[in-house]
Amino acid sequence: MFDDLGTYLLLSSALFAVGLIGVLLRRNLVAMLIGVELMLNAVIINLVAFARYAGADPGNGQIFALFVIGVAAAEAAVGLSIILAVHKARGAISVDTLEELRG
Amino acid sequence: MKVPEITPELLQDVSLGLLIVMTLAGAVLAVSLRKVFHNLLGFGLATIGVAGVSLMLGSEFVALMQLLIFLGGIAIAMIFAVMMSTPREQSEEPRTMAAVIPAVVLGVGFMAVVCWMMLEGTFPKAVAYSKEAWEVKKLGYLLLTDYELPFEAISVLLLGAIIGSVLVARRTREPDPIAEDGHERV
Repeated sequence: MFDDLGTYLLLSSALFAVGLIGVLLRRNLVAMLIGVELMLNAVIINLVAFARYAGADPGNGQIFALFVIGVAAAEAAVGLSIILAVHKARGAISVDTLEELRG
Repeated sequence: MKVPEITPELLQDVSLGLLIVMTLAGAVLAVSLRKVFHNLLGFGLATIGVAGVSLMLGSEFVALMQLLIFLGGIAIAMIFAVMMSTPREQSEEPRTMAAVIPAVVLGVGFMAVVCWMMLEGTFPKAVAYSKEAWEVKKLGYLLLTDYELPFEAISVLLLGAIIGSVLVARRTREPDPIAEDGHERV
């Protein structure tokens, strides 16, 4: 009953929207990074769902999902080390402390 | 009251529904709770849900990688980052409605646009599910033939990310004057 492309696309768009709200709303850098990871999760659902329901060859979609996972890992590593560096320099990990370049 | 007969289709629908509820509930917790550690627990719940959804779609390898990397790698690294930052920063200022409303409007608007495109668009029909096409062996074959260049590029990217993050995180330098006296430079 639920088992078609629309269900998964709806789920992934809802997940992406929640992640987007998180990035826009939160002021803590780690919480913003969590929002970005939720958005990447939504993209992975989309890729696998299209591989299952709309593709000629299901391998391609899965490979794309694996690449997204790899890039997510790299992004999290760099992001967290930047957060640690900011914390070392400022003593806080809120975006409100990072406003030197504000016009 | 008549108990519905338990068929594989019913089980599939029920488990998919539970996974969807779990994913969305975890995501909402990850965004809405005030303490970052609680956000991380919600993110873990959402990640397990997404891995389950990948499994329902038939992709065992992607589900496994999702659990290993998102839960075992990214969530754990984030917990380390939270632990290393000061406890007083784990809780945020209360949010004002003026900040909440535009963010929610933008998020819901994005979702509405995507759903509209989904309803308007037509997608190619599914090919029938075959066990051979979804084997892990097939993925390994594709990674070393059609997708060999992206595969190597991802390796280089990960190496660069590791070296770069070590360099950024371990650099020791003089404390910033802004952090010391709490005033901005003019």
